[in-house]
Amino acid sequence: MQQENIRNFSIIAHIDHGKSTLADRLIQFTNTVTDREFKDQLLDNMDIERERGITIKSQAICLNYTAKDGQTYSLNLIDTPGHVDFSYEVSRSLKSCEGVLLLVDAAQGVEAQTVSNLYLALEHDLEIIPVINKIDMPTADIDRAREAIDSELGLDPDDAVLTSAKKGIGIEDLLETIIARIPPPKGDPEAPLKSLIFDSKYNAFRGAIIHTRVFDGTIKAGQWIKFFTSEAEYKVEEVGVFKLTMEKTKELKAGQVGYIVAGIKSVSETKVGDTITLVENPAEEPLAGYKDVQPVVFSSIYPASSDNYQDLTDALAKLKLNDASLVYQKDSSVSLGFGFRCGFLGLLHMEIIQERLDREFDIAMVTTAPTVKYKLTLKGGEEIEIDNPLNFPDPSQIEIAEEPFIHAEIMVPDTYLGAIINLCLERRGKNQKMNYISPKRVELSYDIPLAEILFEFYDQLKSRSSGYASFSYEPTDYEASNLVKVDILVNGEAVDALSFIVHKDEADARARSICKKLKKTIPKKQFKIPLQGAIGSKIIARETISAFRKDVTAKCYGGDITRKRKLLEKQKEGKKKMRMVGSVEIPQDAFLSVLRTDSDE
Amino acid sequence: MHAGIYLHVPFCSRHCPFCDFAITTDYRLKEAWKRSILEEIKIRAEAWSSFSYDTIYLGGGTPSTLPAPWIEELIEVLKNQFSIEAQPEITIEVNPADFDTNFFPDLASIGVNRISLGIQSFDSEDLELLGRDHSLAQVFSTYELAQQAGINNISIDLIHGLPARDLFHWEKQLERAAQLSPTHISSYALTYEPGTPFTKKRDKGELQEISEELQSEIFLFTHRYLNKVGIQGYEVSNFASSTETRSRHNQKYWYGAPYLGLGPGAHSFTQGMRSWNLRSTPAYIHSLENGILPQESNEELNLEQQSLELLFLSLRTYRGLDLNQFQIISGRDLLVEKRIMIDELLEKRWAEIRENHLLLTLEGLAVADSIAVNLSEIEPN
Repeated sequence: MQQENIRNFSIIAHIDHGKSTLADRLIQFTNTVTDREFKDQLLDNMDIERERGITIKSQAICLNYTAKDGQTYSLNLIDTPGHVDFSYEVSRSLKSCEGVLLLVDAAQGVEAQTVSNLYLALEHDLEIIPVINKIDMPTADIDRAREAIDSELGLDPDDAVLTSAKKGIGIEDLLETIIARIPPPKGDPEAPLKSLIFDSKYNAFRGAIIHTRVFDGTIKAGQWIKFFTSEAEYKVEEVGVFKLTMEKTKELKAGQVGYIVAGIKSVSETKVGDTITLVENPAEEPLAGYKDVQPVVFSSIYPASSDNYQDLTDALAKLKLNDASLVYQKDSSVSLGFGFRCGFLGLLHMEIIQERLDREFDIAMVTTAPTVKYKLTLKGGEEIEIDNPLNFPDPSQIEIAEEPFIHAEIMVPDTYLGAIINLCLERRGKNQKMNYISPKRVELSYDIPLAEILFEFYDQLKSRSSGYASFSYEPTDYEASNLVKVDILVNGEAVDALSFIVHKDEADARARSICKKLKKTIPKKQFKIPLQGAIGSKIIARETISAFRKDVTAKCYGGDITRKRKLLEKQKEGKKKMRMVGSVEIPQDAFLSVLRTDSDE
Repeated sequence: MHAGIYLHVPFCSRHCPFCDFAITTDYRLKEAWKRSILEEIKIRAEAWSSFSYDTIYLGGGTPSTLPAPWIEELIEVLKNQFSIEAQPEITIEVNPADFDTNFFPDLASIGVNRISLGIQSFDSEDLELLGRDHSLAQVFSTYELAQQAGINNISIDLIHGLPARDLFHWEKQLERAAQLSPTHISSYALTYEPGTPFTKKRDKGELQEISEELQSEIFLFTHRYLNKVGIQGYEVSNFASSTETRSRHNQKYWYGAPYLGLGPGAHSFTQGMRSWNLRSTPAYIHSLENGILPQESNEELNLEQQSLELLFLSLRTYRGLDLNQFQIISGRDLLVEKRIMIDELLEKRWAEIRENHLLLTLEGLAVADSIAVNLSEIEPN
């Protein structure tokens, strides 16, 4: 394939504006898969993506298209996630592209994430093709969408391509536009090899499979490659491109996107963002890599049983290979033993990681309540950062405590305005701004402590607006706040994994609510179990689990015995998943239940 | 220990709202059921011929809805097909009703020597709540007819812990039961079985389940009261006036003896293997009409399961867990391995150790299931 006939591009958009559907249509139109192989959201491989209808991981696929000029082009499409938590992933994909399709929903217009993705594309100096999608919708307003492209994005609205991915309208137009507008990749196939790792996946049989974009040079099987960062060397076993599955090719040349298999066993050696070169005739300098990401939400993950610590260690390493934005380090808790303190890009990211650990690695875990990173100035003037309640110092030592804030933007139909304002005020929102973008639609903005949106803010937002409100946020600055650490004591013993940091005014209510929830989840024992919330030595909440008195089955004859034994076996199994704190067993659910707010009470 | 035979008679005049047994109210199936159970006996006789049996138990359902000659015929067939010890215990469950004067004498003549009488309560409102169709007058007349026929070993079934009933109400039931001077009492806590009308009503809030505290009080009171009047407890729900009148048959279930179960839903057990029949009477009949064993499924207990069963079944009894026997089966010396837990039980007076048996006191008996689970958990060394 000639370099002039290659196009590398990405689709970027606000969440739900139809990226994956458009990708599906492009794939179908170019006959990359047969109709029999086709299914919706084709590029979303993970169960969790298909169930939630979202894209988490970027995916690449190579489309062969014969254009009206009679030539055949190789189009590398990289599908990207839309949710703000995954913009890091988007940024990585864009590094491998020369152009993007910027999707705008004909009915909803330009949204927060459309803008921030546009900035990402501009940062990478890419050709941008605006696409107005969903033009078949009865509520589509193409003129208004054009106007928004002009005024809010600063792009030429006449360049916009009109499509309906769902109905397959405008797809050929779009393909022609891609060929006409997006430049072919530059780079010299004869120069020393420089190839960027933009993703990698672990395969039990073949080792780490590198997803790469070749910028200069050519790579083929049999050659020895070297990573710039780790300096590890490997012999290439196979190269190829992404069709529906991986398809072996003779070589990968400058400008191409594809994969490399080189029997790489250790996942830690394939750092995403690193540059690959050849051992013989190496490049002198690596490509510019990626920025390291800053996690904003932290939570600890412990194996449900300490026997599984090694499994959890391996699983996190493999996930990290696939999701470079996950950061973690060893952690240990008195009540839960050894585990990991993990940093996430946001709440959705945290949920996704937990769910993937559970599904892809089948590891039973206990996760602690998410927290943010606090900045403390101590009495002696020393400044420290705390992202784990375990390390929160004694209040008497703290001079100033600061917590991170976010700038939240919420779009909501005016019917629900009152309810949503209340929610934001309950969550310590301030600097309210309100803007009617249409007579019925309001854009609300608030500065809210990040910690406040960690606890079911999104669920509350959806439930109080019957699902109509949309929400996006970006981190802003740190502000001083009156923070305290609350300990939870079970049967007189503090369970460190249940401790949390909270604004002082909310400490009592949160502690009470958590004690109530623990009362429901911790099984009765043969003695009374007091549950207490405390700030230092001061008790601020109290509940008691009464002793259990009777559990013996009344009847136990022929047929009852098997049934009864199975019940007891189940109990026994359930106890294995509990954590002993002193002489009390705390089920995994209890650690999760404290994450829930009082909506059910 | 000798083996026992259980024969399930699935017929009832109505479906009691708390019951989840394998029963049918379709009396038209009686003939076919009888043919089927005779067929089942024939099929199973050989495999079960190596045991000698000292109990026959006709349970239900309501076996007393069968005509006396049928019962005679069934017992006759069992006696011919299996090797039955001299003086077997032959029990039949009877619901209070109007009986023909010949009914009990006929049973007595074929060797029925024990009656289990489903009284449930001496309070007519209780009976109504429980959906029972007998009157108190029928309770006493049935009791008397059985005695007159010379069947003196009479057990009565009671249910305690009914919704909205207090301890005082229950004490009166026990008093009236004791006045009959039965040789045996089975007193069962009302259990909300999944899917029964009682459970549905409770879940909808129409029935108020009594508190765990009251359940515990009633349980302890029942044992203390009956022990005091000389009807001595020997298991969680069973009491007898002497060791001879303990249910020989039911003890087989708790001590791991072999038993053969015949009829719909009946369970059999021998040498670590348990098997059970199809629960539905029509399905049971259909199977046997085609000459197929009506077995629904079976399971072979592994060592861990055998130890768990030994634990929770023997801890139900006043005799307790034979620690030697447990060590032989499980390879575990509980006194060493579970030292801390057992010391705690002894200190709380929930358990005692006597003649190398671990036995629970009444307070311990009330929570026997969780004690069994805790003991079954192997301590990491």
